[in-house]
Amino acid sequence: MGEMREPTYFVLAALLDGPLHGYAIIQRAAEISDNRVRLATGTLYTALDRLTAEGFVRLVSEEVINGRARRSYGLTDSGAAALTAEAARMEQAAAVVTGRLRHQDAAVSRGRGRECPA
Amino acid sequence: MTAIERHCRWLLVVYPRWYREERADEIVDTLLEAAGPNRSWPSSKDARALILAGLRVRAGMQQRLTAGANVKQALLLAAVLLLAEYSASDLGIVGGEWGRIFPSMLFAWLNLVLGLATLAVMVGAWFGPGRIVAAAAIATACLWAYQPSDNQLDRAIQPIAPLGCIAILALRRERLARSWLWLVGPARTSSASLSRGSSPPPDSG
Repeated sequence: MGEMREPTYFVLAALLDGPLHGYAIIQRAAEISDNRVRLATGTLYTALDRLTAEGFVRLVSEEVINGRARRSYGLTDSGAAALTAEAARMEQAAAVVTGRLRHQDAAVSRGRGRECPA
Repeated sequence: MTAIERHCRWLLVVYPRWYREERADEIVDTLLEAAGPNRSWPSSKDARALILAGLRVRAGMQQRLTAGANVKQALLLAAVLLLAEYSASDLGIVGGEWGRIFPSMLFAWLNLVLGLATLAVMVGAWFGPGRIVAAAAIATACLWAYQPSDNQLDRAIQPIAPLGCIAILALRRERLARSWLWLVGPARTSSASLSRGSSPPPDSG
């Protein structure tokens, strides 16, 4: 799998703590992304279909609530591995920027120190 | 059934029937929870996303096919497009020039049967059970091979190749994507037969 899209990333991340049903995934994804990722129902099921076909997510249980089927989905081992790999990739990408910024900040601080005689 | 549930199910019509049978209840449940109380319609964002997702399913875009299935689908589409020309030729002739070209009505009926049988194979190839489709394709090829007029020999033989291709593909086990591709054959046949039926007859000298 190549680079993961943000909704896909948060759907998988939402399942890290255990299986959830459709609306609970939407809520959890919004919660862990500080309300940045608000999945529409159609988008969620498109993602779930794809992730199930790829073996990253599996159907864990099915119950009938108010006469309607409610399915819960869980993360598979390969889904967890893909999520971990994506997190590591993003961490590495972020480190390129944060490391450079820290370096610049340190250089600026040293420069100020030299300008101000004791 | 509440108004919102009725509207949700109405929106779900955009998904193909097989998908609705499998997932409609679950999606409606999620839509109702997402909409919250005192609403009669899902949010515009949910409605929009649902329509797009349904169209994606209909287009077969979310289905990951194996390499073999992709090859099968491409070959089937090519065979269907080729057959559409022959089917259109027969139906167009029957529709537009009934009684003018054919020395007897038997030939006209044969062309009508050939055109319709070919059309049925073109559609059935996307859905039908493999063995039945293969048998129908072979039977239609035999019908094509039986062309009473010598000067139509080429026209009789040419459709046999795509029909044979469909028969072979029907016996292969790769699963095709459920999509609207089956409409390509009838659509092409209709447009081609209409244009042929309405074209002016050649000079009879």
